[in-house]
Amino acid sequence: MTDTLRLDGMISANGSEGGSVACSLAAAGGGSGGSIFITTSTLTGTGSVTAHGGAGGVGGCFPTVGDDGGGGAGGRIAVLYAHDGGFAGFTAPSVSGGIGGGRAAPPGTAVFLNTETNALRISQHLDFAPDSVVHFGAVTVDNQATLVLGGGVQLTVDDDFDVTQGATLFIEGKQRDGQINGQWSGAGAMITAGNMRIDAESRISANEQGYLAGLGPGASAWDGVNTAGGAGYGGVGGSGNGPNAGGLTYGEASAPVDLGSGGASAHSSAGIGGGAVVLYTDTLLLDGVIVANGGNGGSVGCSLAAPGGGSGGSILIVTRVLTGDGSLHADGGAGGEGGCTGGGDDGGGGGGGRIAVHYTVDDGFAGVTTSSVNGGAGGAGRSGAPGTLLFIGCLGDCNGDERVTVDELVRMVNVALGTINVRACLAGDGDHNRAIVVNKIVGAVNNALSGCGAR
Amino acid sequence: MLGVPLLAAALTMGGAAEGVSLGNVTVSSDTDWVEATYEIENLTVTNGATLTIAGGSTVNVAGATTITGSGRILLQGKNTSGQVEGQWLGVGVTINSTDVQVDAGSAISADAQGYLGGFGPGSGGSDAALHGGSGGGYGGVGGRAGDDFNAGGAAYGDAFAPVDLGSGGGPTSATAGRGGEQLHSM
Repeated sequence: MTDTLRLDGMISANGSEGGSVACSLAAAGGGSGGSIFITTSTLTGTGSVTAHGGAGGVGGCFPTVGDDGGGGAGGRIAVLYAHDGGFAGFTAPSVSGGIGGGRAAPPGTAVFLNTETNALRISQHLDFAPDSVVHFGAVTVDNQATLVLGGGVQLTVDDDFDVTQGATLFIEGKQRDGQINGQWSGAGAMITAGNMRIDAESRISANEQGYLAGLGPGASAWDGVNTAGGAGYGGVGGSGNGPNAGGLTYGEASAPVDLGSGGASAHSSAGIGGGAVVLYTDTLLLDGVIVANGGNGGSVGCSLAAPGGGSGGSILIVTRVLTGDGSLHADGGAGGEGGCTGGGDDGGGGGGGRIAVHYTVDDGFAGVTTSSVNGGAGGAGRSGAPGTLLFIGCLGDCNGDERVTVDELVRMVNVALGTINVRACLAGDGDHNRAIVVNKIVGAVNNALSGCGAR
Repeated sequence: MLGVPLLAAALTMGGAAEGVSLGNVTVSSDTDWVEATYEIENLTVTNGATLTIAGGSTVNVAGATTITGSGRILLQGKNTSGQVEGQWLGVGVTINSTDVQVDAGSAISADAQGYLGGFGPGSGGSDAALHGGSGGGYGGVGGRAGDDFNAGGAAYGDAFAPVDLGSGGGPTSATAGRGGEQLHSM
């Protein structure tokens, strides 16, 4: 006997809506969606599976939504199947949050997992908790879905990782709100994939996932009176007025993994730093964008001190093949707008972040010329400084200066001997298996003797 | 094949006893099953009927479960109106069936069968004043009311093996929304 779920109708576990009330009574919230957990061998049919949150109750003070109850969150759906018999319901909206108070509650989670291939499909929403270590055969994120990787997540995908149809992969930061044992230890998330494809409508975003306002190794300070400066990272932050300097640079240009820093808050909240994306792939086809931008400072009234912008974050990519029409951005956020006429009282802009791309084959990647690490705008010459942007395709060129030196060869030998981490020379790891062996050192010696352009 | 009245009688006699063994079952008018473990050869729900199965039940079908002719299976929740010994132990219904077929126009539903308003690990916030109640959380955090005062209910549970009931919105009253229920079908 086969073990088949043929679903042409509907399986649902939706929350109900909150009750409506007369004006001046408290409206009730909606219930959350429930659970649907299906394990089957073959999945087929044209039906759908839903676990929506219920809508909030409607308050009686027509027509505002300010007295409406909150919507219930979406529930959780997991469908584990061994064979896809042509099921049509993967992308039907299924775990949306209920509407309440004029906005939708957050969605729940919906996963379709092929248990034979360990292929995961996310067509609505899923999040992995911070520091999760997760491994799949393949991952598809489509249909404008959102996949959230908490800070410290390590996601490994053996074969194809497709982010398509307006999907967004959010990379969160961790340890963003202070030092750990006296150290700034903030980090983003790491993805390792075989073939990663991000289409023109889709993106990876770590925007504003760095250190919070006034925090991080490149944070700027505020004197309590004058316009504040922006945070630094790959470039220094733009200065403020009076004694308020911009934040300093830190981190490594050729292996950037730090979070961007938060600008100094003044009479409004400052920009948050950009987050950190680390991506190891065999082939990266990027038609969309990967962004790790800092946030803008908030605006203030005239005669109040404007805050600074956050610095851009980190994007580190190590790939054999690099191709596509997309681009990479780790720009600093703009300083807050002062309320007086002209820009003289605007806050300092955040410095640009750091991007490093180590590749073996550049198959016409457009982002070599269109990527950016711009400093954020600031008032009267107080923009943040640009950060660092390196495309390194030369075996052994650890620091990305388009030549291989004896010092870099020594570094490779030390990585091969295990005395230092491969991150000290990612460009020495030609096939990106995170190891340096003799034939890679020989290739680097050839580049040292003949020049990087020779190969 | 067992007729529906006999089925109901069997359940009345058996109460909530474990292991209610039935042969081929066809439900063609509205029927309620109490909490039990049901052993069935083939289960068919048809003719616009609703088969309501009490929370905590397990239904084992050796052959096929077929829901056709605008039929419906409604799965209820258990322990939906409070904690049991300090724990949220709400459960739904598990169906183990070799084959399952849900025809167009037919459904398996657990809508609004989860925790009641104000109950559950993700129950929506409320207060004694006249602020709006927030939404229940589960797969995500519940939404805040339009006045942005009470916190939304917390998220909980497991994305890859979801077996929890959804939580109710705030406040604890019959008017708040009820969470969705749990269906575990294998």
